[in-house]
Amino acid sequence: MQFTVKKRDGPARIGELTIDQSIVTTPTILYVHTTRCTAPDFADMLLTNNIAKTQKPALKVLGSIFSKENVTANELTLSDYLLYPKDVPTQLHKDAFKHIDKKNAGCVIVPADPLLIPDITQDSTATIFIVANAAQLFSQQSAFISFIIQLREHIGYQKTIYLPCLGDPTNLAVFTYMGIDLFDSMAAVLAARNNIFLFSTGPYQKNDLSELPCSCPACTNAGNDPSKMGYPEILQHNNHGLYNELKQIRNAITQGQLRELVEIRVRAHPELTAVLRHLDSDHYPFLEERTSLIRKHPLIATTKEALTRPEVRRFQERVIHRYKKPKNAKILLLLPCSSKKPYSFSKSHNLFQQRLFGAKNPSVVHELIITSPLGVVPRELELIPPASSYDISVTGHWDEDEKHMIRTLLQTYLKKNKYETVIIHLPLGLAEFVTDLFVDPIITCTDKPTSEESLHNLSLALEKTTVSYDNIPVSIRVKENMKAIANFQFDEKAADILFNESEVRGKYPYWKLLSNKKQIGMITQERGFLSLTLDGAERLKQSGTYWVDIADDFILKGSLFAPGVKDADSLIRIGDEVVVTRNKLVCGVGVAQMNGTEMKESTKGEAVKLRHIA
Amino acid sequence: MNELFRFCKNLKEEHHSKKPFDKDKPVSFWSEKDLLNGTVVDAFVMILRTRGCTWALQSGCSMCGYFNDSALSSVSSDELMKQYTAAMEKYTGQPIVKIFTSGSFFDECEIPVSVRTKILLDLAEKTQKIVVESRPEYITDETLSDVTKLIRQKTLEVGIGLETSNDFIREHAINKGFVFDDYKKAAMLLKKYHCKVKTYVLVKPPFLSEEEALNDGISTIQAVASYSDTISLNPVNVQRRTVVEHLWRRRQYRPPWLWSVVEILKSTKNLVGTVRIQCDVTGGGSIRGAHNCRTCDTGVLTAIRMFSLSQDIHVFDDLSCGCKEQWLDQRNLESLGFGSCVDFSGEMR
Repeated sequence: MQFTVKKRDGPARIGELTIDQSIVTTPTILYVHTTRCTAPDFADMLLTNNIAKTQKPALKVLGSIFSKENVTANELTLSDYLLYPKDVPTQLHKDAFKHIDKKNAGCVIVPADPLLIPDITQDSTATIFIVANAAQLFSQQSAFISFIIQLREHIGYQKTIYLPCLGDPTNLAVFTYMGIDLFDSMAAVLAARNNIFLFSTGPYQKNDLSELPCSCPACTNAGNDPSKMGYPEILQHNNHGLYNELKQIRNAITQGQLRELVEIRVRAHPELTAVLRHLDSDHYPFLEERTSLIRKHPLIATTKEALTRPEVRRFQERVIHRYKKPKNAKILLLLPCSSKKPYSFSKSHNLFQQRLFGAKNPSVVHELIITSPLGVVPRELELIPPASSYDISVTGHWDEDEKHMIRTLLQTYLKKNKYETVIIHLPLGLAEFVTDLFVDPIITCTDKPTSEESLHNLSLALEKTTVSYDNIPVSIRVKENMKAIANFQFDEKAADILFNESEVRGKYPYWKLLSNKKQIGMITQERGFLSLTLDGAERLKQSGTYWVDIADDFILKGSLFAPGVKDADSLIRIGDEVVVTRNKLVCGVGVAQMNGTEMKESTKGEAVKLRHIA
Repeated sequence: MNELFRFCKNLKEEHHSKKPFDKDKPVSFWSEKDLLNGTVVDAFVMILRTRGCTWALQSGCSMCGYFNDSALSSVSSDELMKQYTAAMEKYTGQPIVKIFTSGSFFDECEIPVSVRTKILLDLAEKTQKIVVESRPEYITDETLSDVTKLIRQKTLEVGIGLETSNDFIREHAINKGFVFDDYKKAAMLLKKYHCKVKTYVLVKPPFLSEEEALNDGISTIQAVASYSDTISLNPVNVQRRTVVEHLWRRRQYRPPWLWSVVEILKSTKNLVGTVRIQCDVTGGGSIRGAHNCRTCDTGVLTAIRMFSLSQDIHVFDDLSCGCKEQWLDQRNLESLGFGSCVDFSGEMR
């Protein structure tokens, strides 16, 4: 049995589980297949307790050590196992291991006691880790999440986690987002027995469904009349429901939109919402490490949880901790966001910038966009995801969570980045809760920021304030801006090395960084980040960050695959610009396709998409 | 030390506040129906409060809470005799007398030889059949030759809590502290002294699934038939301060279904010849005892009671209820839940 990760979206993955001749795509559902319960035809993998006559891959659970079945086990058969209930002393669980033959086991049962995880996972050759006592574990959500995360951190990226019993169409998304790969249809079976129809919005009692909002074959065959449906038909419906949701989830992972689906699905049960909130608040490092820097689709922020999603928090933390404002920016100009992104490509920002560049000395002005859910976005970072592409529901009303977030970020930002003058060009509803953070700010909006009067006030304020500073040439300011991006992308040390004895050329957003007429790197609108040449990579290497070291005898071709990676900087995230070195010499530069830890750990898959090879 | 041994021991030590018992009074006594030579007769039952089962004082079994009725401090011979006398005041000549101690009648730490002698001499005068219980380690040549002399021609039946013929289950799920061979030796010794052997078989110790428990019950009955005169099938009921209760409170243990009990009785009766199989479902129909659903518990319990007296499996013929499907599901699917699915009688979450 083998497992390969194919696509990633946060901790969730699409993978391939190779079992004998079959390949099963994960996440997947193991459909219960017994004498009393037949799996649907569309099942890709089965969960069974007898020697089922099927060509499909099946996890077989035979007798525990307390029964007397004598069977020959294969790597997907469990027999003679000893599983105690959840709440027995840890030592008793440990005692049970003595009776378990670990050799050749493709699957291992992990009792729901976190203290056992190190022992069970150490040196395990298993591919599937089965979470035992899952229902009891889930009754305490925060303990449940910690358990799953600890298990994942111990087994690494190349193993699968199977969460039995719990999977239903409401929770598959959030469980997948936690990194769980395998589920089963037990909940569908038990619900059907109790006349419960499962939907992605929640479970419904048969008698409560005056209309049947489903067109699956089972519901269609019954003429959409729930009263004509008994256990087998409801089970068929529930099995379809699981499968549909699974396909939605896999699509979402492929598109990088799982988080959006999760935020919708967790509305079905308060405890699922709690799971997501616990994840965000208690396990940010786990999520962040696995979350890509780049996106295919806009980040949709329509829920309370969107404020705390890892992409958003990471952006905010980098603005606060890594970012430094351009040196010559002395006047702070606060602007609202625009619905079109990047901001400068919008009508409203076009109007603002016309006024700004109409002023005599615009290079001393620093535009800072105030927005939700990102908080504060310096103009230079507008091309960087998720600032480059996100969508919120604009109503002009700000709720208390947003106000608190914006105020806190702005206060922290201003401690590190000092300005001499502040111009607030914000709509009144927004200005109202930030103005008190400044001493004598100039307020330029009388009504809408784009009204003739407000824009006129903006021009006057810019005219009046910029003249009192020495004139700063645009080229100097552009280089400072580009360096600010590098600060945000790498860190200050790397940015200093990259921008040493260099100049910036080109028209925004396609800025090129050159030194002695040789290109070091460039910014593109598509990526938002600084892309490096081999010369740039040489400089990045000197900073001691964002490096991937490959084996001495490894020859680089189009892509760097994980088996070649000897070691990698654990700071690396998917989408990061990285320098590839061999024997301390630069041999390539490209974009990370896994995080640094996964690259180092993995024996399969593309680690870095190379742009240049030395 | 075995970890289950430690667990059973610790659960008893965790709670240790108890009001002292009146050592002059027995735990309880009552009259019930039983069989004597194929006839239904009245039996007088008394439970004496001794200092407690020696095994329970060291650790004890995972399902047994009888120590809760024990004094857990020394009970003098005088006090024991006062208990016996107090109970016997209500004795009305029943042909069977059962004396239980929540431990072993032959354990001299519980019942001193002098007390044992007085009781047996007295009962030999008054009744036809005397029933006691003992762990196998106290069933010795010396004791049996001693007690059989006292009772003369009267019948002595000794109940032994074997629980299962599977040594692994007895050690790792029950913590019984003896092995199948110890039971066999004791049973053969009892035969040698013409005593009757009653073997207690447990239904559903903790850690076993319903299906495993059912199969273990069946194979145990088959294995003990040749050593037993009577087999007493005992479905677990949730007793205080036990491993079973610890799990049950956390929804990690469900007492056996009555359907399982019926199934065991039905499928073994024809395999054991003339050996009598009886079953007294302690706490039957309650959440702490073996139960099905509220609808059918009473009927099924009545049938089990009728079977114990008639030995006729046809008393089960007309039983049916919708919950039987849930029981069949539990047998079929429980192990596929990896510990999640403990009780199929209701919704899982």
